[in-house]
Amino acid sequence: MATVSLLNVAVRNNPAQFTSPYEFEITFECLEPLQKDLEWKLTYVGSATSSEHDQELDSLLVGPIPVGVNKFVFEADPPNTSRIPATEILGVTVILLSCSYDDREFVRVGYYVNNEYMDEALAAEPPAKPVIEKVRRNILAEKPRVTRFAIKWDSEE
Amino acid sequence: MRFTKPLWLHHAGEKKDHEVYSCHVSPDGTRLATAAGDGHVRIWSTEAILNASDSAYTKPKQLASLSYHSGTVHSVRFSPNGKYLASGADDKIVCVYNLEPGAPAHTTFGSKEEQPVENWRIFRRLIGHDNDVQDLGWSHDSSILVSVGLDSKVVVWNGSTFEKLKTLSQHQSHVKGICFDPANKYFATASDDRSIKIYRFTSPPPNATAYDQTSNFTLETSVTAPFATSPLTTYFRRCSWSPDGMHLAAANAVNGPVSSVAIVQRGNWESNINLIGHEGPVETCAFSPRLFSPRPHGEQQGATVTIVACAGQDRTLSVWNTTFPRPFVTTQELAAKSISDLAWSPDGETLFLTSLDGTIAAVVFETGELGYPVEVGENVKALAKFGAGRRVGIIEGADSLRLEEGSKAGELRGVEGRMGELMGDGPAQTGALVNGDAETAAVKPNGVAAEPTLAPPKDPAEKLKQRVTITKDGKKRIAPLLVSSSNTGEAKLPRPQLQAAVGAGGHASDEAAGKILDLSKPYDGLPKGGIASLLLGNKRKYAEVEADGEEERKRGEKRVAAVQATGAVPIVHNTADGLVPASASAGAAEGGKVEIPEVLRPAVVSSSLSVSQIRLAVPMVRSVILRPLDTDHDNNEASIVFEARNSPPRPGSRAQDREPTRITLTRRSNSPSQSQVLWQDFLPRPAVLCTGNRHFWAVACEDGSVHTWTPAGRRLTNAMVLEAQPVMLDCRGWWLLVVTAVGGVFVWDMRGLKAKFGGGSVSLAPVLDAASTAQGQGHLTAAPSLMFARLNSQGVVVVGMSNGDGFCYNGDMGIWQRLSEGWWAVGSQYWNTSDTSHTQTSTKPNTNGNILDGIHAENISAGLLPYLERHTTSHALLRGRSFFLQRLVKNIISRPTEGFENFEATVSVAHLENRLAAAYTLSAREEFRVGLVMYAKRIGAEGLRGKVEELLTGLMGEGMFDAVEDGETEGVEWGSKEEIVGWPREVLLKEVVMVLGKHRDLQRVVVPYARFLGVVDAGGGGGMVVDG
Repeated sequence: MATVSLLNVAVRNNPAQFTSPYEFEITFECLEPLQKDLEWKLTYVGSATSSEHDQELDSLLVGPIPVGVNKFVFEADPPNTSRIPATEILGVTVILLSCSYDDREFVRVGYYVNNEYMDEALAAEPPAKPVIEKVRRNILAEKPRVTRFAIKWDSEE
Repeated sequence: MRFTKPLWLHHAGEKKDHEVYSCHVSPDGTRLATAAGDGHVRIWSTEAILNASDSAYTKPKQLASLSYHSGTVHSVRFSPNGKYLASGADDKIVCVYNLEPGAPAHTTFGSKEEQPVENWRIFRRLIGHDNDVQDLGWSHDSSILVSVGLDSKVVVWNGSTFEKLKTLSQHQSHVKGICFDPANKYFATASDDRSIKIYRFTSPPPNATAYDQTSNFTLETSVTAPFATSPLTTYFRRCSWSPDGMHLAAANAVNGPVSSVAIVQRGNWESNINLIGHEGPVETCAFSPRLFSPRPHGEQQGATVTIVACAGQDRTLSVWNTTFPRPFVTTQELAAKSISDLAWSPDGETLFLTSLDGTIAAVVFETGELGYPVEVGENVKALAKFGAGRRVGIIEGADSLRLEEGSKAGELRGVEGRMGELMGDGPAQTGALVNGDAETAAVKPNGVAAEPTLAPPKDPAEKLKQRVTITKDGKKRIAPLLVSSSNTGEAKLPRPQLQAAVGAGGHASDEAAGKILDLSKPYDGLPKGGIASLLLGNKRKYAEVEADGEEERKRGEKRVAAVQATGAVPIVHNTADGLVPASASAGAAEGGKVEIPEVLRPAVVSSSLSVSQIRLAVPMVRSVILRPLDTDHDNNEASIVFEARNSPPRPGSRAQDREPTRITLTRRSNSPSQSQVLWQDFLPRPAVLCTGNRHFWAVACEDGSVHTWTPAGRRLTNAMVLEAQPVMLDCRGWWLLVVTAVGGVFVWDMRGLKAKFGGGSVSLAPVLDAASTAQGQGHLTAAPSLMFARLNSQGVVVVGMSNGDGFCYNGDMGIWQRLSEGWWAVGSQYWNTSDTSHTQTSTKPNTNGNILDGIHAENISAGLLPYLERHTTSHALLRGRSFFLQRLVKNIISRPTEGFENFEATVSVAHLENRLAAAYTLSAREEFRVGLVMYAKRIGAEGLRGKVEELLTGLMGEGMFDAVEDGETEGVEWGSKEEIVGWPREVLLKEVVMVLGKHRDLQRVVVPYARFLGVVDAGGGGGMVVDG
């Protein structure tokens, strides 16, 4: 059984500008005292075709963790557009929010993200070089895909 | 008979349903719990299942889904009191859940689960198995939970605190089934070692710990006959006990070549009845919880019958009735794979079954189909003859009953008193806190437990206060906001240790205990690590035999060495010159005359003999030695300081030619100018040590002389001249203690000017482990250092060594006695020096200012034993000086080998006896009483009848004994006076009798004493309670 279970993730600013930071309010429950911190990580999948465009947007250590239900806000910078192929910026992609304990990942939450122009003219005829400022990001917050992994916690040694 | 299998009743998987391993119905019949390969435990409404065909039924179907296991869940069981649900899985863990009030807060995030209806929360995770947990069982009074697993272990858990009470490792192979006797006397475990083992138990109280349950849960018998060739291919061997307690149905039995269900008879444990017909091994069988009568209620009822359902790998369900030789129902169409579990609803007429094909189904029998269920009262009646509803043992008389009640009332008072203390108010408000449940309620207002609701904050945009810090390796780190301390952890039910800790907190721990410590103040100048000591061996050199020169001598030594090599002891003569081989030329030269050794040293130094085998480190000569008078708390007043000022050696002169040493007693006040010299004296030799109190002052000089003064500065005695330099000087009351460099211990009574010990001094040699180290070594060896040597108010010397041992000198017996040692620290369950339970004196914090050193009659040796045990802890355990002993004992305790099964219990009892003897020797009043009660509790729990009998006789003493019975007193008793260590015999006896009174198997021994003491009202004497 997992010592830490993810109870809820609320996306705070959604939809938002492509360039605005990501904000997640994360609620989790800890059942036993932990010796180490939890490390949360947000990854932006830049391209559907290859993992080389994946960007780790931010990582954050959370601790010390009291036993009980805890929450915190995870803020992460937007992706660096220079590292994303121009053709891949628009459209549907994925962000991954993962958490690991002692370098062992135990939960991963995937969200679909839709990036599109706000004004219809641009949307109808997108320019060759995307106008980042006008791109709106919409996280499909109500359909997270959660994968849980069984890992070794402190008490199971 | 109606068969219901709703479509929605499954553990859904991606392609097909997960295999379901277990099901159970809650004791109120409203919920069905199922466990499956998806790691989930699901709780369903039985009402919804039974009304599945009714489209108008809209109430919730699934009530909760619990996903706390990381693997396949093999077993799920509600506790019969309805409070808990337990599940065991192949992640080796047993989870215990409880139903919290309030709405459930959330689903598992991100899953497609339905919103739960009931707020089932994980309550405990029980870690104790090394492999898959295969089955679980609760006792019928819910006092214990037993889990069995593929690690061949049977683990017994406390049903209230969920502390592990005992691990039974008697099975030789996987254990796959467990069931409880409804009469609460046995449980049966079924294993792949082709046996069912029946364990006998008595229900432990809610606050039971592993310590007092060591003699509970004993193997009654092992049933092997029906399983001689039973296959090992089943998942489970779920057995069942009939509701009347008469029979045990054992799954996966064989009768010759055919598989069967064996019905084992209670008592003789024979299995003459076999239910034959299943074509494959039977995984599970379940008795209906009701007794049935062939005729409806109200009519003439015949003999009641029981109903048992069996199912297994042949996918067939059979339902048997004890009056017919054939099954009442057999059906093969219920499942496509083997059936894994069966559960009856409490009304006894609905059966739920689960199968590995994912089926969860209900079989509803029409009224009268199975017979007519008789009232539940009949079950109780049927069970009464097996002693259900009461503890084992028979009350043998009215006196016993009264004694038992009195004993329990005493315990209850104890609990209430503790709770009141915990809550910080009088006992009046804590009315009926009897068991664990009540404690929960009582502790909650302390603010430990939070509100059980977990509702998310109303405004999600509420700004959380969090500050980002950057760690060393440049990562951002924040501390999360605690929304609610969950209901899972310790907050719910404080463990016994936790309570002890709270209690200790109120007593300010060690320091408070130290206040009533009846010991002289530690000597200030003691070096770190204690006073080093050296031992001189007894071995003597071989004599220089000059007669035949070098070769002859060598030959003699060689011969001795050769003899030694074979393991024999060479015969040598102990001559004045040294050792000589027996037949060496030296002996022969004297014409066979028998040589009488002129010098003989005993191997073990008698404490009254010469002591020169020891060398203790001598303190340095310091220029100034100060000793303030111990005052109580009047720091503002002028303090009195005793000072010995040695002059430095004059340059150019001999070392011994110093100026005289100046001794002054000054009254010091806050401003140095107001310091006032009370008296002054001079000594010709440098002072090494000084001490003093209200009664006298003493200085020990470098040349081994001890000078004493009255408080006014008169010389109290002539200089007392010691055999060697003093290494320690201490005083308490009128007692003065000196330890010399050669290990002599002197104690004088300065009022009567008498020596405490007959021969003047006693030797420290025995304490320094001389007996074991000094043998056969011709050179100096290091002995354990002397950590402290102090006096109590009776002039008893107490010594602590660096190896953790603590000794006192018993003047009456003329011997050093070891009161505390590392052996108890590692072996005994009672070794807990932070626990204040045996230091708490119920009365009088020592506030009488008029007697400064706190010497009271009732304070003799107070706190001394705990002090010595703490010393042992810090040296033997914390500094790891007994590391190997510790490892050895741990090994023995963790896997008991042949002959060591009772190691821990035996050592614990011995430790208590040792403590008791020490308290008696030291005349430690409070410790003796507390130790006695603790000891009585333990030997009572262990059922050590012989020890109990002897203890009671000993307490009774000769004077009182004739009053009880006219037998002769035998065995050891404590003294012959009316009092034992300051307690009247009756008081102690009464206390012990009250403690022992609740153990029925000991009542025959205890009751005569209780009767004598008048603990039971003598009035109703003769009336026997005929019971069972």
